[in-house]
Amino acid sequence: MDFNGLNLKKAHLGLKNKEFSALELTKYFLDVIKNKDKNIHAFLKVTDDLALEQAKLVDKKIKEGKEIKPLSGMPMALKDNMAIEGITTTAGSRMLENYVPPFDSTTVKKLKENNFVLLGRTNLDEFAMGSSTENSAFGPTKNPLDTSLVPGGSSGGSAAAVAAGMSLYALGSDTGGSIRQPAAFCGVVGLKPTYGRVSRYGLIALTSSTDVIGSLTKDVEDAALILEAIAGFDEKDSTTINKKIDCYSQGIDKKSKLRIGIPKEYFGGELDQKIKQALNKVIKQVKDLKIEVIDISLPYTEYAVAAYYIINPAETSSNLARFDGIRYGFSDKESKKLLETYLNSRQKGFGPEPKRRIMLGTYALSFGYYEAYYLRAQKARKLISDDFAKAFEKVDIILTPTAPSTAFKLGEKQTPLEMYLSDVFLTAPSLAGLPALSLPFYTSEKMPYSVQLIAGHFEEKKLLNFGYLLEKEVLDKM
Amino acid sequence: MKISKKEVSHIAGLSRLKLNEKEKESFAGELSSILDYIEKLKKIDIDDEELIYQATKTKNRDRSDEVQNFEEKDKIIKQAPKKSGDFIEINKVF
Repeated sequence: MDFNGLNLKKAHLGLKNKEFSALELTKYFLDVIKNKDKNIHAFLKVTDDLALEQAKLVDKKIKEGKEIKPLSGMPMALKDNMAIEGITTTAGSRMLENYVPPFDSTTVKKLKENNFVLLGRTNLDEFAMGSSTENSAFGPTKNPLDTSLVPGGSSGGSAAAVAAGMSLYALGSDTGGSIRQPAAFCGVVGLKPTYGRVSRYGLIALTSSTDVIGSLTKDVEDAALILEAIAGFDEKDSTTINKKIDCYSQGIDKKSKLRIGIPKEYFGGELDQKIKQALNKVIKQVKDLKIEVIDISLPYTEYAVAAYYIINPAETSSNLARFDGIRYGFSDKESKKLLETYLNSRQKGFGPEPKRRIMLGTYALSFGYYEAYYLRAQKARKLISDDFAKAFEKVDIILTPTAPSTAFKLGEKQTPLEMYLSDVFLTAPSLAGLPALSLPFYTSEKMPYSVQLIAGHFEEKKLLNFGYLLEKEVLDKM
Repeated sequence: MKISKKEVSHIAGLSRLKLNEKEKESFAGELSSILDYIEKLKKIDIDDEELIYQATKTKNRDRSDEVQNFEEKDKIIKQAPKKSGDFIEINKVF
Protein backbone atom coordinates (compact mmCIF):
# COMPACT_ATOMS: atom_id res chain seq x y z
CA MET A 1 0.00 0.00 0.00
CA ASP A 2 1.22 3.53 -0.72
CA PHE A 3 0.82 5.76 2.29
CA ASN A 4 2.51 8.78 0.75
CA GLY A 5 -0.67 10.85 0.43
CA LEU A 6 -1.64 10.46 4.07
CA ASN A 7 -1.76 13.20 6.63
CA LEU A 8 -2.32 12.56 10.34
CA LYS A 9 -6.09 12.80 10.17
CA LYS A 10 -6.39 10.33 7.29
CA ALA A 11 -3.86 7.95 8.84
CA HIS A 12 -5.72 8.03 12.15
CA LEU A 13 -9.03 7.24 10.43
CA GLY A 14 -7.35 4.46 8.49
CA LEU A 15 -6.19 2.84 11.73
CA LYS A 16 -9.54 3.30 13.44
CA ASN A 17 -11.46 1.86 10.50
CA LYS A 18 -8.96 -1.02 10.27
CA GLU A 19 -8.07 -0.22 6.65
CA PHE A 20 -4.45 -0.86 7.61
CA SER A 21 -2.48 -1.54 10.77
CA ALA A 22 0.04 0.61 12.62
CA LEU A 23 2.61 -2.08 11.85
CA GLU A 24 1.98 -1.81 8.09
CA LEU A 25 2.21 1.96 8.30
CA THR A 26 5.46 1.82 10.25
CA LYS A 27 7.02 -0.78 7.96
CA TYR A 28 6.14 1.40 4.96
CA PHE A 29 8.02 4.41 6.36
CA LEU A 30 11.00 2.30 7.45
CA ASP A 31 11.21 1.03 3.86
CA VAL A 32 11.11 4.54 2.43
CA ILE A 33 13.90 5.57 4.82
CA LYS A 34 15.94 2.56 3.72
CA ASN A 35 15.52 3.46 0.04
CA LYS A 36 15.91 7.20 0.20
CA ASP A 37 17.98 8.28 3.16
CA LYS A 38 21.37 7.22 1.83
CA ASN A 39 21.11 10.14 -0.61
CA ILE A 40 19.62 12.61 1.85
CA HIS A 41 21.04 11.82 5.31
CA ALA A 42 18.09 13.18 7.25
CA PHE A 43 18.48 10.54 9.96
CA LEU A 44 21.37 10.13 12.40
CA LYS A 45 19.80 6.98 13.77
CA VAL A 46 16.87 4.80 12.69
CA THR A 47 15.14 3.08 15.60
CA ASP A 48 13.51 0.21 13.63
CA ASP A 49 13.10 -2.26 16.47
CA LEU A 50 11.55 0.27 18.81
CA ALA A 51 9.23 1.56 16.06
CA LEU A 52 7.94 -1.92 15.26
CA GLU A 53 7.41 -2.67 18.94
CA GLN A 54 5.53 0.62 19.50
CA ALA A 55 3.37 -0.02 16.40
CA LYS A 56 2.42 -3.51 17.59
CA LEU A 57 1.30 -2.06 20.91
CA VAL A 58 -1.08 0.31 19.12
CA ASP A 59 -2.45 -2.52 16.97
CA LYS A 60 -3.11 -4.51 20.13
CA LYS A 61 -5.03 -1.58 21.60
CA ILE A 62 -7.15 -1.26 18.46
CA LYS A 63 -7.82 -5.00 18.43
CA GLU A 64 -8.97 -4.83 22.03
CA GLY A 65 -11.39 -2.09 21.05
CA LYS A 66 -9.62 0.61 23.10
CA GLU A 67 -9.72 4.30 22.15
CA ILE A 68 -6.62 5.59 20.39
CA LYS A 69 -5.44 9.21 20.29
CA PRO A 70 -4.75 11.22 17.10
CA LEU A 71 -0.98 10.59 17.34
CA SER A 72 -1.26 6.91 18.35
CA GLY A 73 0.60 4.70 15.90
CA MET A 74 1.73 7.66 13.81
CA PRO A 75 5.36 7.20 12.67
CA MET A 76 7.45 10.28 13.34
CA ALA A 77 11.01 11.62 13.38
CA LEU A 78 12.55 13.47 16.33
CA LYS A 79 15.28 16.09 16.10
CA ASP A 80 18.35 14.75 17.86
CA ASN A 81 18.36 17.40 20.58
CA MET A 82 15.41 16.18 22.66
CA ALA A 83 16.24 13.65 25.35
CA ILE A 84 14.70 10.21 25.19
CA GLU A 85 15.62 7.68 27.82
CA GLY A 86 18.01 4.98 26.65
CA ILE A 87 18.55 6.33 23.12
CA THR A 88 21.60 8.39 22.17
CA THR A 89 20.84 12.09 21.85
CA THR A 90 23.78 13.78 20.14
CA ALA A 91 22.67 17.35 19.36
CA GLY A 92 24.71 16.85 16.17
CA SER A 93 27.92 17.19 18.18
CA ARG A 94 30.98 15.02 18.87
CA MET A 95 30.58 16.29 22.41
CA LEU A 96 27.45 14.16 22.88
CA GLU A 97 28.17 11.42 20.34
CA ASN A 98 27.78 8.70 22.98
CA TYR A 99 25.40 10.44 25.37
CA VAL A 100 22.48 8.25 26.46
CA PRO A 101 19.94 10.31 28.44
CA PRO A 102 18.74 8.71 31.68
CA PHE A 103 15.39 10.54 31.35
CA ASP A 104 12.70 11.59 28.89
CA SER A 105 12.17 15.18 27.84
CA THR A 106 8.64 16.35 28.67
CA THR A 107 7.75 16.36 24.96
CA VAL A 108 8.84 12.74 24.58
CA LYS A 109 6.92 11.83 27.73
CA LYS A 110 3.80 13.34 26.18
CA LEU A 111 4.42 11.54 22.89
CA LYS A 112 4.77 8.26 24.79
CA GLU A 113 1.45 8.91 26.51
CA ASN A 114 0.02 9.26 23.01
CA ASN A 115 1.55 5.91 21.93
CA PHE A 116 3.70 7.51 19.24
CA VAL A 117 5.99 5.57 16.92
CA LEU A 118 9.60 6.77 16.75
CA LEU A 119 11.23 6.08 13.37
CA GLY A 120 14.51 7.74 14.30
CA ARG A 121 16.55 10.76 15.26
CA THR A 122 17.10 13.53 12.75
CA ASN A 123 20.19 15.51 11.83
CA LEU A 124 20.76 19.13 12.87
CA ASP A 125 23.40 21.83 12.92
CA GLU A 126 25.63 21.24 15.93
CA PHE A 127 23.70 22.22 19.07
CA ALA A 128 21.07 23.67 16.69
CA MET A 129 23.44 26.46 15.61
CA GLY A 130 23.01 27.08 11.93
CA SER A 131 20.69 27.61 9.00
CA SER A 132 21.73 24.81 6.63
CA THR A 133 22.47 21.62 8.67
CA GLU A 134 26.02 21.87 7.28
CA ASN A 135 27.30 22.46 10.83
CA SER A 136 26.40 18.92 11.94
CA ALA A 137 29.44 17.00 13.19
CA PHE A 138 28.04 13.97 11.36
CA GLY A 139 27.82 15.45 7.86
CA PRO A 140 25.19 17.61 6.16
CA THR A 141 21.63 16.69 5.21
CA LYS A 142 20.62 17.33 1.60
CA ASN A 143 17.44 18.90 0.34
CA PRO A 144 15.19 16.09 -0.96
CA LEU A 145 13.80 18.40 -3.67
CA ASP A 146 17.31 18.93 -5.09
CA THR A 147 20.27 17.22 -3.42
CA SER A 148 22.73 19.92 -4.50
CA LEU A 149 20.89 22.31 -2.13
CA VAL A 150 20.77 22.60 1.65
CA PRO A 151 17.56 21.66 3.48
CA GLY A 152 17.88 24.70 5.73
CA GLY A 153 18.52 24.46 9.43
CA SER A 154 18.93 23.79 12.13
CA SER A 155 16.01 21.30 11.96
CA GLY A 156 17.10 20.32 8.43
CA GLY A 157 16.90 16.57 9.09
CA SER A 158 13.33 16.85 10.37
CA ALA A 159 12.21 18.99 7.41
CA ALA A 160 13.92 16.69 4.89
CA ALA A 161 12.40 13.57 6.50
CA VAL A 162 8.86 14.92 6.05
CA ALA A 163 9.51 16.41 2.59
CA ALA A 164 10.98 13.13 1.29
CA GLY A 165 7.99 11.15 2.59
CA MET A 166 10.23 9.29 5.06
CA SER A 167 8.08 10.31 8.03
CA LEU A 168 4.47 11.33 8.58
CA TYR A 169 5.58 14.27 10.69
CA ALA A 170 8.61 15.45 12.64
CA LEU A 171 9.44 17.56 15.65
CA GLY A 172 12.10 20.23 15.61
CA SER A 173 13.15 23.17 17.73
CA ASP A 174 13.17 26.83 16.75
CA THR A 175 15.43 29.37 18.44
CA GLY A 176 15.81 32.00 15.71
CA GLY A 177 14.13 30.28 12.75
CA SER A 178 15.28 26.67 13.00
CA ILE A 179 11.86 25.18 12.21
CA ARG A 180 10.46 27.85 9.89
CA GLN A 181 13.46 28.21 7.57
CA PRO A 182 14.00 24.48 6.82
CA ALA A 183 10.22 24.10 6.41
CA ALA A 184 10.39 26.86 3.78
CA PHE A 185 13.42 25.34 2.01
CA CYS A 186 11.93 21.83 1.89
CA GLY A 187 8.30 22.77 1.13
CA VAL A 188 6.63 21.63 4.36
CA VAL A 189 4.63 23.38 7.08
CA GLY A 190 6.62 24.59 10.11
CA LEU A 191 5.09 25.77 13.38
CA LYS A 192 7.01 27.63 16.07
CA PRO A 193 4.65 27.99 19.04
CA THR A 194 4.69 30.87 21.54
CA TYR A 195 7.71 30.80 23.85
CA GLY A 196 6.57 28.86 26.92
CA ARG A 197 3.68 27.06 25.21
CA VAL A 198 5.69 23.80 24.94
CA SER A 199 8.02 22.65 27.71
CA ARG A 200 11.76 22.90 27.09
CA TYR A 201 12.57 20.31 29.76
CA GLY A 202 14.95 17.82 28.16
CA LEU A 203 15.58 19.97 25.08
CA ILE A 204 19.32 20.56 24.87
CA ALA A 205 19.57 24.29 25.52
CA LEU A 206 20.82 26.72 22.88
CA THR A 207 19.28 30.09 23.75
CA SER A 208 17.05 29.47 26.75
CA SER A 209 15.11 32.73 26.31
CA THR A 210 13.94 31.88 22.77
CA ASP A 211 14.11 28.05 22.40
CA VAL A 212 10.76 26.42 21.51
CA ILE A 213 9.81 22.92 20.35
CA GLY A 214 7.46 22.74 17.37
CA SER A 215 6.44 20.66 14.38
CA LEU A 216 7.22 20.04 10.70
CA THR A 217 4.20 18.62 8.92
CA LYS A 218 2.51 18.13 5.58
CA ASP A 219 -0.31 20.54 6.35
CA VAL A 220 -1.69 23.04 8.86
CA GLU A 221 -4.24 20.70 10.38
CA ASP A 222 -1.47 18.23 11.30
CA ALA A 223 0.39 21.06 13.03
CA ALA A 224 -2.75 21.77 15.10
CA LEU A 225 -3.13 18.12 16.14
CA ILE A 226 0.50 17.90 17.24
CA LEU A 227 0.40 21.13 19.22
CA GLU A 228 -2.63 19.83 21.13
CA ALA A 229 -0.54 16.83 22.18
CA ILE A 230 2.71 18.58 23.15
CA ALA A 231 1.58 21.97 24.54
CA GLY A 232 1.08 22.71 28.19
CA PHE A 233 2.32 23.75 31.59
CA ASP A 234 5.27 21.86 33.03
CA GLU A 235 6.52 22.17 36.55
CA LYS A 236 10.00 21.32 35.25
CA ASP A 237 10.12 24.36 32.94
CA SER A 238 9.46 27.54 34.88
CA THR A 239 8.85 29.50 31.67
CA THR A 240 5.86 27.41 30.60
CA ILE A 241 2.55 29.10 31.21
CA ASN A 242 -0.37 27.65 33.11
CA LYS A 243 -2.91 28.59 30.49
CA LYS A 244 -5.63 26.50 28.91
CA ILE A 245 -4.54 24.58 25.83
CA ASP A 246 -6.93 25.52 23.05
CA CYS A 247 -8.42 22.76 20.96
CA TYR A 248 -6.48 23.95 17.92
CA SER A 249 -7.85 21.47 15.38
CA GLN A 250 -11.50 21.94 16.29
CA GLY A 251 -13.17 24.47 14.02
CA ILE A 252 -9.90 25.08 12.17
CA ASP A 253 -11.90 25.33 8.94
CA LYS A 254 -14.25 27.96 10.35
CA LYS A 255 -13.99 31.28 8.54
CA SER A 256 -13.43 34.02 11.11
CA LYS A 257 -13.07 37.73 10.62
CA LEU A 258 -9.35 38.50 10.81
CA ARG A 259 -7.28 41.53 9.87
CA ILE A 260 -3.96 40.82 8.17
CA GLY A 261 -0.97 43.17 8.51
CA ILE A 262 1.75 43.55 5.87
CA PRO A 263 4.92 45.12 7.34
CA LYS A 264 6.84 47.10 4.73
CA GLU A 265 10.20 46.33 6.40
CA TYR A 266 9.89 42.67 5.35
CA PHE A 267 9.60 43.46 1.64
CA GLY A 268 12.82 45.44 1.17
CA GLY A 269 15.99 45.00 -0.84
CA GLU A 270 17.18 41.74 0.72
CA LEU A 271 14.10 39.88 -0.57
CA ASP A 272 14.48 38.05 -3.88
CA GLN A 273 12.37 39.86 -6.52
CA LYS A 274 10.61 36.73 -7.73
CA ILE A 275 9.57 35.84 -4.17
CA LYS A 276 8.33 39.38 -3.70
CA GLN A 277 6.17 39.15 -6.81
CA ALA A 278 4.76 35.78 -5.75
CA LEU A 279 3.95 37.12 -2.28
CA ASN A 280 2.21 40.15 -3.75
CA LYS A 281 0.05 37.72 -5.69
CA VAL A 282 -0.73 35.86 -2.44
CA ILE A 283 -1.67 39.13 -0.75
CA LYS A 284 -3.94 40.07 -3.64
CA GLN A 285 -5.74 36.75 -3.41
CA VAL A 286 -6.19 37.21 0.34
CA LYS A 287 -7.87 40.55 -0.43
CA ASP A 288 -10.05 38.82 -3.02
CA LEU A 289 -11.37 36.62 -0.22
CA LYS A 290 -12.77 39.80 1.33
CA ILE A 291 -10.22 39.69 4.15
CA GLU A 292 -9.06 43.05 5.44
CA VAL A 293 -5.37 43.65 4.62
CA ILE A 294 -3.62 46.57 6.31
CA ASP A 295 -0.17 48.03 5.59
CA ILE A 296 1.82 48.32 8.82
CA SER A 297 5.32 49.23 9.94
CA LEU A 298 7.69 47.45 12.34
CA PRO A 299 10.46 50.08 12.39
CA TYR A 300 12.95 48.22 14.61
CA THR A 301 13.05 45.13 12.36
CA GLU A 302 16.46 46.06 10.96
CA TYR A 303 18.07 45.56 14.39
CA ALA A 304 16.67 42.06 14.94
CA VAL A 305 19.54 40.02 13.49
CA ALA A 306 22.17 42.13 15.29
CA ALA A 307 20.37 41.84 18.63
CA TYR A 308 19.78 38.13 18.11
CA TYR A 309 23.44 37.42 17.36
CA ILE A 310 24.43 38.97 20.67
CA ILE A 311 21.71 37.39 22.81
CA ASN A 312 22.08 33.96 21.25
CA PRO A 313 25.88 33.68 21.69
CA ALA A 314 25.65 35.19 25.19
CA GLU A 315 23.21 32.53 26.34
CA THR A 316 25.05 29.86 24.35
CA SER A 317 28.35 30.60 26.06
CA SER A 318 26.63 30.11 29.39
CA ASN A 319 24.62 27.02 28.36
CA LEU A 320 27.63 25.24 26.86
CA ALA A 321 29.77 25.84 29.96
CA ARG A 322 28.36 22.61 31.40
CA PHE A 323 30.30 20.54 28.86
CA ASP A 324 33.51 20.09 30.78
CA GLY A 325 34.50 16.47 30.13
CA ILE A 326 33.71 15.44 33.71
CA ARG A 327 30.14 14.28 34.20
CA TYR A 328 29.05 13.29 30.70
CA GLY A 329 29.88 13.88 27.07
CA PHE A 330 33.26 13.81 25.37
CA SER A 331 36.29 13.73 27.63
CA ASP A 332 39.91 13.94 26.58
CA LYS A 333 41.59 10.85 27.99
CA GLU A 334 45.17 12.16 27.61
CA SER A 335 44.73 15.09 29.97
CA LYS A 336 46.48 14.79 33.33
CA LYS A 337 45.30 17.92 35.15
CA LEU A 338 41.77 19.24 35.68
CA LEU A 339 42.23 22.41 33.65
CA GLU A 340 43.69 20.38 30.77
CA THR A 341 40.59 18.17 30.87
CA TYR A 342 38.38 21.23 30.42
CA LEU A 343 40.48 22.83 27.70
CA ASN A 344 41.18 19.71 25.66
CA SER A 345 37.70 18.18 25.95
CA ARG A 346 36.11 21.42 24.78
CA GLN A 347 38.64 21.88 22.00
CA LYS A 348 38.06 18.39 20.60
CA GLY A 349 34.36 18.03 21.45
CA PHE A 350 33.01 21.26 19.93
CA GLY A 351 33.00 22.08 16.23
CA PRO A 352 33.73 25.55 14.78
CA GLU A 353 30.27 27.13 15.17
CA PRO A 354 29.78 26.37 18.90
CA LYS A 355 33.33 27.63 19.50
CA ARG A 356 32.61 30.80 17.54
CA ARG A 357 29.43 31.49 19.51
CA ILE A 358 31.05 30.72 22.86
CA MET A 359 33.77 33.22 21.96
CA LEU A 360 31.33 35.88 20.75
CA GLY A 361 29.09 35.43 23.78
CA THR A 362 31.92 35.50 26.29
CA TYR A 363 33.25 38.65 24.64
CA ALA A 364 29.84 40.37 24.69
CA LEU A 365 29.32 39.54 28.35
CA SER A 366 32.83 40.35 29.53
CA PHE A 367 33.89 43.33 31.56
CA GLY A 368 33.77 46.59 29.60
CA TYR A 369 31.66 45.18 26.78
CA TYR A 370 28.49 44.16 28.59
CA GLU A 371 26.88 47.60 28.20
CA ALA A 372 28.01 48.07 24.63
CA TYR A 373 26.62 44.78 23.43
CA TYR A 374 24.43 42.65 25.68
CA LEU A 375 22.55 45.48 27.34
CA ARG A 376 22.00 47.19 23.99
CA ALA A 377 20.76 43.97 22.43
CA GLN A 378 18.29 43.49 25.27
CA LYS A 379 17.09 47.06 24.81
CA ALA A 380 16.65 46.47 21.09
CA ARG A 381 14.70 43.35 21.97
CA LYS A 382 12.27 45.45 23.99
CA LEU A 383 11.78 47.85 21.08
CA ILE A 384 11.21 44.99 18.65
CA SER A 385 8.63 43.45 21.03
CA ASP A 386 6.88 46.82 21.38
CA ASP A 387 6.71 47.12 17.58
CA PHE A 388 4.76 43.86 17.45
CA ALA A 389 2.56 44.76 20.43
CA LYS A 390 1.55 48.00 18.71
CA ALA A 391 0.89 46.22 15.42
CA PHE A 392 -1.35 43.65 17.10
CA GLU A 393 -3.63 46.45 18.30
CA LYS A 394 -4.56 46.93 14.64
CA VAL A 395 -4.20 43.47 13.10
CA ASP A 396 -4.63 39.82 14.12
CA ILE A 397 -1.99 38.21 11.93
CA ILE A 398 1.17 39.57 10.30
CA LEU A 399 2.11 38.15 6.90
CA THR A 400 5.75 38.17 5.70
CA PRO A 401 8.15 36.09 3.63
CA THR A 402 9.89 33.30 5.60
CA ALA A 403 13.28 33.55 3.91
CA PRO A 404 14.86 36.10 1.54
CA SER A 405 15.72 33.36 -0.98
CA THR A 406 14.89 29.75 -1.78
CA ALA A 407 17.26 26.98 -0.61
CA PHE A 408 20.89 27.81 -1.37
CA LYS A 409 23.63 25.45 -2.53
CA LEU A 410 25.64 23.28 -0.13
CA GLY A 411 28.84 25.19 0.64
CA GLU A 412 27.49 28.43 -0.87
CA LYS A 413 27.47 30.58 2.27
CA GLN A 414 31.15 31.05 2.98
CA THR A 415 31.21 33.32 6.04
CA PRO A 416 29.33 32.98 9.33
CA LEU A 417 27.77 36.43 8.85
CA GLU A 418 26.31 35.46 5.45
CA MET A 419 24.69 32.47 7.14
CA TYR A 420 23.33 34.58 10.02
CA LEU A 421 21.72 37.02 7.56
CA SER A 422 19.60 34.25 6.05
CA ASP A 423 17.58 34.49 9.31
CA VAL A 424 16.63 38.10 8.57
CA PHE A 425 12.83 37.58 8.70
CA LEU A 426 12.89 34.99 11.47
CA THR A 427 14.72 36.38 14.48
CA ALA A 428 12.31 39.21 15.37
CA PRO A 429 9.37 36.89 16.22
CA SER A 430 11.80 34.72 18.21
CA LEU A 431 13.10 37.65 20.24
CA ALA A 432 9.50 38.69 20.94
CA GLY A 433 8.46 35.09 21.80
CA LEU A 434 5.62 35.11 19.26
CA PRO A 435 4.09 32.09 17.54
CA ALA A 436 4.80 31.85 13.81
CA LEU A 437 3.85 29.50 11.02
CA SER A 438 5.76 28.89 7.80
CA LEU A 439 3.64 27.77 4.83
CA PRO A 440 5.08 26.63 1.47
CA PHE A 441 3.66 27.26 -1.98
CA TYR A 442 4.72 26.49 -5.50
CA THR A 443 4.85 28.65 -8.62
CA SER A 444 6.30 27.64 -11.97
CA GLU A 445 9.75 27.55 -10.30
CA LYS A 446 11.20 24.24 -9.15
CA MET A 447 11.80 25.22 -5.51
CA PRO A 448 8.96 26.24 -3.21
CA TYR A 449 8.42 29.73 -1.81
CA SER A 450 7.09 30.34 1.65
CA VAL A 451 4.87 32.66 3.66
CA GLN A 452 5.44 33.36 7.35
CA LEU A 453 2.42 34.17 9.52
CA ILE A 454 2.99 35.72 12.95
CA ALA A 455 0.39 36.10 15.72
CA GLY A 456 0.25 37.53 19.23
CA HIS A 457 1.36 35.56 22.31
CA PHE A 458 -0.69 32.36 22.76
CA GLU A 459 -2.81 33.13 19.68
CA GLU A 460 -1.99 29.81 18.00
CA LYS A 461 -5.69 29.13 17.49
CA LYS A 462 -6.05 32.25 15.33
CA LEU A 463 -2.73 31.56 13.61
CA LEU A 464 -3.66 28.00 12.63
CA ASN A 465 -7.16 29.04 11.69
CA PHE A 466 -5.91 31.63 9.20
CA GLY A 467 -3.07 29.32 8.13
CA TYR A 468 -5.62 26.67 7.23
CA LEU A 469 -7.66 29.12 5.17
CA LEU A 470 -4.58 30.49 3.39
CA GLU A 471 -3.35 26.99 2.63
CA LYS A 472 -6.65 25.73 1.23
CA GLU A 473 -8.01 28.86 -0.49
CA VAL A 474 -4.83 30.50 -1.77
CA LEU A 475 -1.54 28.59 -1.57
CA ASP A 476 -2.76 25.18 -2.75
CA LYS A 477 -4.34 26.89 -5.76
CA MET A 478 -1.24 28.89 -6.83
CA MET B 1 35.52 46.67 15.75
CA LYS B 2 38.85 44.97 15.29
CA ILE B 3 39.56 41.96 17.50
CA SER B 4 43.23 41.07 17.79
CA LYS B 5 44.68 37.58 18.11
CA LYS B 6 45.73 38.53 21.63
CA GLU B 7 42.13 39.36 22.57
CA VAL B 8 40.99 36.10 20.99
CA SER B 9 43.44 34.21 23.23
CA HIS B 10 42.16 36.08 26.27
CA ILE B 11 38.49 35.33 25.53
CA ALA B 12 39.35 31.71 24.75
CA GLY B 13 40.94 31.46 28.19
CA LEU B 14 37.84 32.88 29.87
CA SER B 15 35.73 30.41 27.88
CA ARG B 16 37.94 27.43 28.79
CA LEU B 17 38.54 26.77 25.12
CA LYS B 18 41.91 25.77 23.75
CA LEU B 19 42.41 27.13 20.25
CA ASN B 20 45.21 26.40 17.80
CA GLU B 21 46.95 29.20 15.88
CA LYS B 22 44.80 28.70 12.80
CA GLU B 23 41.60 28.95 14.84
CA LYS B 24 42.85 32.10 16.58
CA GLU B 25 43.60 33.65 13.22
CA SER B 26 40.23 32.86 11.69
CA PHE B 27 38.24 33.79 14.81
CA ALA B 28 39.97 37.19 14.97
CA GLY B 29 38.75 37.96 11.43
CA GLU B 30 35.29 36.43 11.79
CA LEU B 31 34.49 37.97 15.17
CA SER B 32 35.62 41.36 13.87
CA SER B 33 33.27 41.23 10.90
CA ILE B 34 30.34 39.97 13.00
CA LEU B 35 30.90 42.77 15.54
CA ASP B 36 31.09 45.30 12.69
CA TYR B 37 27.62 44.24 11.67
CA ILE B 38 26.40 44.41 15.27
CA GLU B 39 27.69 48.00 15.56
CA LYS B 40 24.39 49.03 13.94
CA LEU B 41 22.75 48.64 17.36
CA LYS B 42 24.58 51.81 18.37
CA LYS B 43 22.45 53.83 15.96
CA ILE B 44 19.32 53.67 18.06
CA ASP B 45 18.70 55.88 21.02
CA ILE B 46 17.79 53.42 23.67
CA ASP B 47 19.00 55.06 26.85
CA ASP B 48 15.64 55.33 28.54
CA GLU B 49 14.12 52.11 27.43
CA GLU B 50 13.42 49.47 30.01
CA LEU B 51 14.81 45.99 29.39
CA ILE B 52 13.08 42.78 28.49
CA TYR B 53 14.55 39.47 29.55
CA GLN B 54 11.50 37.29 29.20
CA ALA B 55 9.37 37.59 26.10
CA THR B 56 6.03 36.55 27.55
CA LYS B 57 6.63 38.67 30.66
CA THR B 58 6.27 35.82 33.13
CA LYS B 59 7.52 36.40 36.64
CA ASN B 60 9.77 34.09 38.61
CA ARG B 61 7.86 31.05 39.66
CA ASP B 62 9.04 29.37 42.83
CA ARG B 63 8.41 25.86 44.00
CA SER B 64 9.27 24.30 47.28
CA ASP B 65 12.74 22.82 47.41
CA GLU B 66 11.85 19.25 48.24
CA VAL B 67 14.03 16.19 47.83
CA GLN B 68 12.63 13.77 45.27
CA ASN B 69 13.82 10.26 44.70
CA PHE B 70 15.46 9.59 41.36
CA GLU B 71 15.70 5.88 40.69
CA GLU B 72 18.10 6.09 37.79
CA LYS B 73 21.19 7.16 39.71
CA ASP B 74 23.34 4.46 38.11
CA LYS B 75 22.45 5.62 34.63
CA ILE B 76 23.72 9.10 35.46
CA ILE B 77 26.98 7.92 36.97
CA LYS B 78 27.50 5.56 34.04
CA GLN B 79 27.79 8.60 31.73
CA ALA B 80 30.89 9.88 33.50
CA PRO B 81 34.19 9.11 31.78
CA LYS B 82 36.04 8.35 35.06
CA LYS B 83 34.41 6.96 38.14
CA SER B 84 35.12 5.06 41.26
CA GLY B 85 32.15 3.25 42.75
CA ASP B 86 29.34 5.74 43.15
CA PHE B 87 31.71 8.69 42.73
CA ILE B 88 32.74 10.64 39.64
CA GLU B 89 36.50 11.01 39.51
CA ILE B 90 38.38 14.06 38.26
CA ASN B 91 42.01 14.70 37.46
CA LYS B 92 44.28 16.47 39.92
CA VAL B 93 43.72 20.20 40.20
CA PHE B 94 47.43 21.06 40.62
